[in-house]
Amino acid sequence: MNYAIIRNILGKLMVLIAGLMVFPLIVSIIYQEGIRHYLAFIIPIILLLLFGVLFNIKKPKNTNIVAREGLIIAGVSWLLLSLFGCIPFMISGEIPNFFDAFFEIVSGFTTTGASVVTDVTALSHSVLFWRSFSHWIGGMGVLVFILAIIPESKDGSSMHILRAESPGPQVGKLVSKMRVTSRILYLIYMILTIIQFLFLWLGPDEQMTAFNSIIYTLGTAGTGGFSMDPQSLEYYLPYSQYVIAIFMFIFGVNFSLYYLILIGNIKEVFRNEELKWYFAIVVIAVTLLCINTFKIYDTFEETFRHALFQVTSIISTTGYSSTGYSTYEVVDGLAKVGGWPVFSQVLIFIIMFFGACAGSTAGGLKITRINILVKSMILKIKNIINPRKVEVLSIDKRPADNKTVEVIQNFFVLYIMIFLICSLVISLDGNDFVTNISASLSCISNVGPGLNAVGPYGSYSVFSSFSKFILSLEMIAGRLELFPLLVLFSPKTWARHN
Amino acid sequence: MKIVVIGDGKVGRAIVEHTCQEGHEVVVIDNKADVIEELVNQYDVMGICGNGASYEIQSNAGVDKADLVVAATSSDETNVLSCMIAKKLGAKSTVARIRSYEYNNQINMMKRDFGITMTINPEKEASLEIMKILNFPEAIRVDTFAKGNVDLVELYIPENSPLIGQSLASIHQKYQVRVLVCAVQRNEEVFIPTGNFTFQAKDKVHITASRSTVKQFLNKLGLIESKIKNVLIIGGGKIAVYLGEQLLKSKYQVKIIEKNYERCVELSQILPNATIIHGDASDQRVLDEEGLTNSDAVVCLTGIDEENIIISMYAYKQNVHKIVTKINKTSLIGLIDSINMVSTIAPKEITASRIVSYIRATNNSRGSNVITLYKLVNNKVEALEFKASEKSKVLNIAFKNLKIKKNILIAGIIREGEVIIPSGDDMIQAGDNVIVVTTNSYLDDLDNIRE
Repeated sequence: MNYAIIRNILGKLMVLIAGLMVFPLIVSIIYQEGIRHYLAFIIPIILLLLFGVLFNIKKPKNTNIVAREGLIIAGVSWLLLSLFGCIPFMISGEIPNFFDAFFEIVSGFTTTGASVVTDVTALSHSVLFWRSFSHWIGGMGVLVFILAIIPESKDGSSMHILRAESPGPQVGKLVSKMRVTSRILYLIYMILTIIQFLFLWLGPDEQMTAFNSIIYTLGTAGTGGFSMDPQSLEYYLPYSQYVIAIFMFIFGVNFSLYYLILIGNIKEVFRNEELKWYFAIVVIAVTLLCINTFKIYDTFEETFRHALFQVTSIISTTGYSSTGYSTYEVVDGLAKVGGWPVFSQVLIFIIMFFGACAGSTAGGLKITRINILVKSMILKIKNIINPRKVEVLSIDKRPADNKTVEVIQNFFVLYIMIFLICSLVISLDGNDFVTNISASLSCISNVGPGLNAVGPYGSYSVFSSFSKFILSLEMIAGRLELFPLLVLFSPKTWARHN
Repeated sequence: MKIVVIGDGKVGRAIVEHTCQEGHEVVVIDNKADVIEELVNQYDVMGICGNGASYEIQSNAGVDKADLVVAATSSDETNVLSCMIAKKLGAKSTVARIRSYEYNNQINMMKRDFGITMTINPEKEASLEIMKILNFPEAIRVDTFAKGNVDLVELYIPENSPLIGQSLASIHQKYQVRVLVCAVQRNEEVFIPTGNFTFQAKDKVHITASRSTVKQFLNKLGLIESKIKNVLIIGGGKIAVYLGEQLLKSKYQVKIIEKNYERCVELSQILPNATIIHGDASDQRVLDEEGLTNSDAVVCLTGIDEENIIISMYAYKQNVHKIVTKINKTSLIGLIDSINMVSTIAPKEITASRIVSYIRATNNSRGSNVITLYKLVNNKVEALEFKASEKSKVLNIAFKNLKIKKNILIAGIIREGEVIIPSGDDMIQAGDNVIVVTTNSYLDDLDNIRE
């Protein structure tokens, strides 16, 4: 095990987080929130710089990173990121409990958007900003960012790190140099973010002030979903809702497709099956929801808007809402019964599984995996009917090898198992069935809201500290696609001889 | 520079390794998915799986914007076709590996008519390299600069050598020959010697001088060995054919031992003047019967590295004076390195350094061009020959006034066919060929030798 390079990269990561924490500090200074809030960011910045510089003093001789080290770096980085990231919440006194603060920041970095805060209006600007900014950072990934800035290693590739952190079964480079690839990805990410911000800020919505626009843009770009209003986007103008719905869809598309568009290779974009499936699933789900919910709303436009918003929000694993769809909601301390018909709720639950495209900022299983699973299932059935028939599973008109399919099948089983085990563990708290199941799925898919008590207007404060910790780990496992975190907890990884 | 390598075999991999280290943008095409997967994990390159001669795959790899396309698949025909397509797509220059003996005589025609910038034949290059060593049996390795005017010779200092404990200055006084030691391998360490360097037993030193000076030097040391007259080649592959042909032309006696009977028949048709033996060379009895002990030189060219090493060890034990052995896996060179006086040849490395020198020369078309490049001592040292251009910033400054970077040594200047071993008062003039030895990599301009 190359501990030197792991230490070195973790050191760089800490310096990077310190740098990123300067932004909420600036926000805090702009709004003159007082010395306690300044310290809430200054203390972790100093700590991070100290450790980061210490870790970086000795340069590693061997810069080669093997697959196992890539996974470990990803797992440890995200744990560290969360541990340091929750310090501002605790020092500022707005989320004093460690487990609450940890849950909140994990939810931020993993772009889940599940919150334990019952009254978001009480949060200060800097804390709100840090929460949403963590979505933006976590969306594309911190290690991808580090890869974009560290000098390229002479002997060996950092492909394993990119692969461990990036969502999707097959992670490739856009261009031959790793650094350039990471830079292109971040550049596309930034440009899309800025465009969305301008749309919101310059739009007709009076409520969308510059600060609100920033918060909602950061949440959308990372497909996170932390909101600054107790009722999410319900009371914003339809214009803002449409803008956000469209951008949630956009951030759920594989970023390499945007690169292909940039270099003018439109043909390849249209060949992408995942995009077609993504589009088809959204269209079908919106249609079904419209049919099922049109009685609730006054006009067709309103029905369509809410259906579209909820579908794009859930499938891109963002978690904003424009209406309360859950059976009961806790609004201002009062239980409000109503919401969408059960059919629609089950539909929402199902698309929570799917998630958006691989290589986007979204979580979930990813559509390309669903695509391959469905195809391999069909192939299996055909094979039973006609055992001698030879047919190849192909993706994007190219044959997929058996290993890829096998890995995806295993991934799916593991995903379901972790989801079920976590549901079981958190149900010790005694909440109702739907709350537990939907909370667990919402966390592993990095969506945010679930149903019932954890619905769009609810909060995860109904769970105990232990459950919150389990859910936090589940979120990280979901964001890193299971393996990095499992590798960390496997004793074999740390054994000297293997 | 954007480089596309087609075929990720031994040669392809060596090229990827060197070009990647020098920071070029590299795309590799190979038709085996697992090979590509492993490659991408190891190097910072883009891998594409597919047929390298396909128009579609090549456009995907961005051949149209490539500065160089190297086709190094196992098939000559695929390589030629790949280069033709690459040229059509707009690649600036193309290199094809063509190694079949049958195509050897039509290389020039193929280059001209098919738009191939350069062809490379690793087996032929390797045979030339072996030829140089056999012509100079005292040296472990011989590289030449300036069209053969200057030699860079690797010598082993035996324990009873009169050189031990001497410095270069004292040798110059004693023997009246001017040679320059430009790199020393002592135990595992490699360094470029400074003024107070003294020889030690078991050193492997690289010296530069004109050929006659080197011979003179060896003569005075009493190191001259008798000329090689008969050569035993073990393994009748492509290198053996090229080598046998050259050896026979230079009136050597050649005996080739080959395991495969059909190949033996072929060999006896191509090389009617050589003695072709059908037998298994890993059998000690065969070697003894065929007179290994009486051979002046043994060249091991079987396809298996381990077999080559073992036969070399046996030959060494039988006091064969000159042993040359082919090793493909660079990691195994360390094994045989402990036996001094055995010369090793790695065809893929020779090919890779040819291509690297070509890349550096084209990369720097404005300044002083790299003419030749050799990688020495397991790629730890580079010896380069530059043509000093008129625009160079290091012209006409005496070396004692020129601040040269650490680990760089000016090993020789060739001016109008004369070799100058530089001293403090010498200087580089426009049009000179300058030989630079360095442990720093990636030198591509003469101006970069300055601090």
